[in-house]
Amino acid sequence: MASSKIPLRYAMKTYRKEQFWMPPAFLAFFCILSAFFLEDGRANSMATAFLGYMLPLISGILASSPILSDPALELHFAAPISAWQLLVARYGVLLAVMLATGFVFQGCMALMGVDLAYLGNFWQRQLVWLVPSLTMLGLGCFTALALRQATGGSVFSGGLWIFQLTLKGYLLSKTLARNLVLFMGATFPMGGTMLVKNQISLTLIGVLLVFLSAFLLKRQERYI
Amino acid sequence: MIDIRNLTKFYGRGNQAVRALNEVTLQIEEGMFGLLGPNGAGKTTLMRILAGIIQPSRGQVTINGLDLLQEKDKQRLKAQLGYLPQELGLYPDLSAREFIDYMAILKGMHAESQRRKRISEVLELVGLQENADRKLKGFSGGMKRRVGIAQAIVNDPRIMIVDEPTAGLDPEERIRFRNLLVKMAAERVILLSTHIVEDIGLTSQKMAVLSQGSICFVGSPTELIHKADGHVWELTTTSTEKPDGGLTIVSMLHQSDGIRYRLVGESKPADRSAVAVKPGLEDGYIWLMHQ
Repeated sequence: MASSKIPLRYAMKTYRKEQFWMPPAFLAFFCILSAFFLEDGRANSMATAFLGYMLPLISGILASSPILSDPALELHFAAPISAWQLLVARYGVLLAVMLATGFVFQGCMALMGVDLAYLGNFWQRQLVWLVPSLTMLGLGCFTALALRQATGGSVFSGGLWIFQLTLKGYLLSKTLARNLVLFMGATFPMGGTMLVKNQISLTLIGVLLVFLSAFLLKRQERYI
Repeated sequence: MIDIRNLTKFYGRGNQAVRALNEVTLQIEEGMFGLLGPNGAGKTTLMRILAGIIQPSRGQVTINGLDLLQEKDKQRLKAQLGYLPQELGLYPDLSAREFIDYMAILKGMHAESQRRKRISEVLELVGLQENADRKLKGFSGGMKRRVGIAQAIVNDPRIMIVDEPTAGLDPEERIRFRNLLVKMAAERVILLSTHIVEDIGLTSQKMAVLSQGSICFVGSPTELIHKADGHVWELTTTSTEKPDGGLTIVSMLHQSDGIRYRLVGESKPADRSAVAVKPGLEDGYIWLMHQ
């Protein structure tokens, strides 16, 4: 979760508080919504909306600030730690928060009796939200560092999310574009090869963006 | 020892490029070395290059035999360096002890018992032992600066780089801070960058003046003072018109018999009552800047 140079306790303590509260706040909101819709059977839609749509969006928005909003960034740059160590420490915490949110939400759904089996088996269900969340995490991180502005990263990530949501039907109808749709897992949880291709593409994009972020972060003078 | 040769730094590219440092060459030995210059002279750029944060466009820097341009050497150097940036950012929810502990870990001090002992020592040195476990959000500007110094010395660095450390401090805190730096300079190299002339005069045996990215003076504060010999005058006048003739007004004081001006310039003021006076460091600096 944290690099050998940045212990977990300090990675957590130096993390911005709102980054801890935002995911649970949305989790609570969607749990309440799901509870309201339990009777008419729309709780499943709420669960899908949270896992497949909201978690990737939260991921992208939160990913834009852990580095650039760090008040002691210049001191980190003056310390003998690499760009990777800083990225792992900061994004490890974010990933942990997202994982906890995803699993706690599924736990709440189970307690409320909402059956999520329509999203596939346990592992398929996790991929529905984890893959697009990772892609959005990479995107939020990369765009913020590329633009040298946390707000810019959030706006870009949110903008892309809205763009895909609006044009989801069109994008899914195109052979190449469907590989880049963030919501494929939530839309076609049993999408077979088409879904696998989409998830591999999104994962590769996410990983590539994280590598590019590390490359950008090595150029420290851009950020002070 | 810090050896800087022909250091040049550009920001931006092509026609938009701004030259922040221009062929800077300096040798800095043990003790306190003051770097003086107006805002925008390139002091912070030089400090950040020496701290390994930004890359120079050209030139060479070796610190204690380590080449700052080699990545391996740079990482080794960072572990041995103490750095206090101009804009010190702290985590408001950490206590002073936790913040210094965190910085010590970042600098590679992994042995916990040794780290704890050293943190107690530095907290005592900067006079924060009684507030060590208070959250930083409740600290005054001066206390935050002291936390900054504590984190800079926690790894017992041979070389310290402090950028504008007294900016924004009240007079008492500034004195305390200067004394602390002088005390520490006995056994290490401290490079103090400031635009406050007084800070250099009261702390440094050697100094340099940086202006528009270039070094325009290297020597002792006394040598800089002597540069203004015969170029400083005082005159008292009741006239509301300011003295002119290419002279720079260093200070003006309203007194019962008129306004007393302290002037620095090439030739004596036209006013006959002007008398030559012994220059101070500030006069030397002003004279140098206007040459």
